[in-house]
Amino acid sequence: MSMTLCHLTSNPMKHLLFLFAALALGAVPGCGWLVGSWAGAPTLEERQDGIILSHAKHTAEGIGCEDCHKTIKASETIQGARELPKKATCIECHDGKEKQCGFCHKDEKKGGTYVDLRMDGIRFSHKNHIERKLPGTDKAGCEVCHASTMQSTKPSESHRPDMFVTCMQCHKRSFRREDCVLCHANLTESKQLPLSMFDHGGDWLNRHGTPAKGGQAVCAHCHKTSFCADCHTRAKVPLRAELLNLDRPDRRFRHRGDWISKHPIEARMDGKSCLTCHDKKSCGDCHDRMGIGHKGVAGTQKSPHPAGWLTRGSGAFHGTEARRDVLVCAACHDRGAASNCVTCHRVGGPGGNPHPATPKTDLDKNTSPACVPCHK
Amino acid sequence: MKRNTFITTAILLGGLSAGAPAFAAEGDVEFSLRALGTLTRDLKAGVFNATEPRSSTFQLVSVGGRNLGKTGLFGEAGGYMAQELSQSTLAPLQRGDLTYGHLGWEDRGRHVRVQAGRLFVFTGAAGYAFLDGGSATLRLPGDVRLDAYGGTAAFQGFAEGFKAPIYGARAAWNPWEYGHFGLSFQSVSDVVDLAHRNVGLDFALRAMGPVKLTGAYVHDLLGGRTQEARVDAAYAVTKFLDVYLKGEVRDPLARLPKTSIFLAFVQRTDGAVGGGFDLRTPGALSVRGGYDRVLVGDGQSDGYRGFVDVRLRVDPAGRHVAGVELARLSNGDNGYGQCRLYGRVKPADRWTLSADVDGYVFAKEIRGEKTSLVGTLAARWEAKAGLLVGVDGQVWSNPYFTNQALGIVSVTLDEKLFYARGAAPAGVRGAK
Repeated sequence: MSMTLCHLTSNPMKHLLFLFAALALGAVPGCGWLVGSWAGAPTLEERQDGIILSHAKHTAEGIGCEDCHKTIKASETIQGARELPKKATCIECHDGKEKQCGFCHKDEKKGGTYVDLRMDGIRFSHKNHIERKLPGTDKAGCEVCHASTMQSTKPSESHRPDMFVTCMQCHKRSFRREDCVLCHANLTESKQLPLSMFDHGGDWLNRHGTPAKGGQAVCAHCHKTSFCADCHTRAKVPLRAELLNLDRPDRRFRHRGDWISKHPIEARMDGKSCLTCHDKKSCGDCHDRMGIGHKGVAGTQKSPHPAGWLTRGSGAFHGTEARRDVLVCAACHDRGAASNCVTCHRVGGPGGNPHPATPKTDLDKNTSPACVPCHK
Repeated sequence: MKRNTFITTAILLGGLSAGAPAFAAEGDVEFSLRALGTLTRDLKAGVFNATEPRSSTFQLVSVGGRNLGKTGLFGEAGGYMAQELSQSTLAPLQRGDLTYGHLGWEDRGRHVRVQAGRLFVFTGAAGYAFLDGGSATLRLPGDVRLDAYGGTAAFQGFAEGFKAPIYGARAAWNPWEYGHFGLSFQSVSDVVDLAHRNVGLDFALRAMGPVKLTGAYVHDLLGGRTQEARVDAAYAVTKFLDVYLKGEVRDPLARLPKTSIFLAFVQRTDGAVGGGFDLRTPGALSVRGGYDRVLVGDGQSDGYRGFVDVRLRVDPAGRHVAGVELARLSNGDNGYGQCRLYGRVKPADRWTLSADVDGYVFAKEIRGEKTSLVGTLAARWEAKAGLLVGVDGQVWSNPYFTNQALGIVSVTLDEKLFYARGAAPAGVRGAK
């Protein structure tokens, strides 16, 4: 950035931008620090406000799950605290006369309630599960899914059933069939994403194409069609996805920031990927709009081509550049038989033979649509 | 024509939007409407007295539903309408389009799935399709899956004004929880000549425990050569750290139709190798980064790109995020260094504020400029659940635009009518 600062003197607008940057970036961590702490996301133990129940102690006393979770057998949805014992249930044993509130409440004078355990978007019926046997065994009941909870001495996130360990005991086939909707009503917003299986780390934006070739059904469970359409509908979207998501600086996009300046640099690295979404028309339209279209004369501000573009040996000769990256040429000039290359490079034309030293052998010059315009 | 498209799209999307809630009692329905107004103004270097501002309005609508009427029917549609308010733009004053829109049916056992309309088909390595047509999926015993699709390309760059016929298929075997092999085929025509005809192989599998391998190979049947081959190996070192390696070989002309005369000018193969990591600490910090070495056939344009993104979640609920992204790219001819600073905070329950400053330094001057900057501020206010009001501002200074300012005002209505809010829908199958 120090280099950037050196160049500010030539452009007062950039001073303004840097002032804006400094204010904005100061505000972000500042607000964050004021509102919260820097400690990171708290665990369930940290969030829960006072209840320190030991399942292990209750189990050892011979108290069954349904003695406290009285409604669980009939429960058809996960509604968080609704399935947890009410105070009246605890008082059946803990009458409070011997200050037993302290068994469970950290501050017995001001006992807190349960932490919010709701899992929005998860479809789960305890009623449908609780009496089923684990396939191939005689195991049934709460311990099939909640074995570690029954041994726990305090609430912990780690005691929640893990999808890949617990649910997969029975639901392997559902998973393989991408039948996530069976349990996940809304994976697009769920916090219970199976990230360990579908991690999107590192340079995922450039990597996602490979796993996506295995089929869109897996992607579609978390990503709505509109999410994919933001980038993959080519000319059918009115605004770039980046402009529709200016409030999401944490998301990664292909054309974020100064893509106008970046795109000719990045296109040289992988021009093929540009053509995944863009055609020559989209290039031409924009270049014309910006006044750098084909109507400009090489070497002027109205042309994307430098001076000497048509002069062999000039150092900027178009033939040399075309050998390096002909896709850049094709982006604007590929119009089949009407391509302006044909004007000079036809057989007998002034442009001479444009073929590389190792000519393509897989095209028939007499019949191939790529060859006929010049060889007719 | 554009005006007709605008009106047709308005009627279609309006009808879908009005009809969506009617299905809500029986299935899962989502509906989203976003209205935006934009104002763009070019600013001459450092002076706020520039050319005539341009303004536009956009309405984007999407609606989707599953298991409508408990019949297995599903459907999705999304589109937009745009109205230019200023005469200075080169775009048509009114335009609109159906981005995607299809209806389908799936049986309760998920053995058969068919859909028709404007749809994406991402299936197989041979190529993805964005088409007006139909697709079908058949799941057979033995974890075999068959997909087929056909229609005309909804957008095909090389066939302006002509609906290029496109069809393809994939057969896949999915024997493990994480693992599949797929063989696919795709054919696209340009007027009367074949433009593409590919076969592809894709796979995903777990190897050596936690290593996940994914890969794809595409063979160009018309050119008789490899169009693309890529493999990606990801390893979960710990719960908090993933690393990956990838390699790729590609024909840079692969996406050109076989009718293009540009195929005659160059023949070469490019490649890329790279790797990266994603570290997510249990606390506030996450870091990810990657490096690719890009090998271009002529050897003169070899380059690299690397980035690292450090992100802090700075409050207990992870609502506030601040990050720094550094990147460097060089293609042998030019390149850039990037420093991006961004953040997103929720200062109050219904408010979200975002800031993003993205700066670049180019290795070589572009039009006499060596730097560029883009600054963005965005605010969102949740007026009520599902109703979001937004105000965005962006200023942009680069070698091409000199300077530009953009303002966007938006209202988003996002309604999700899930059956019984997470309850299991009637008739849902049990564990298999």
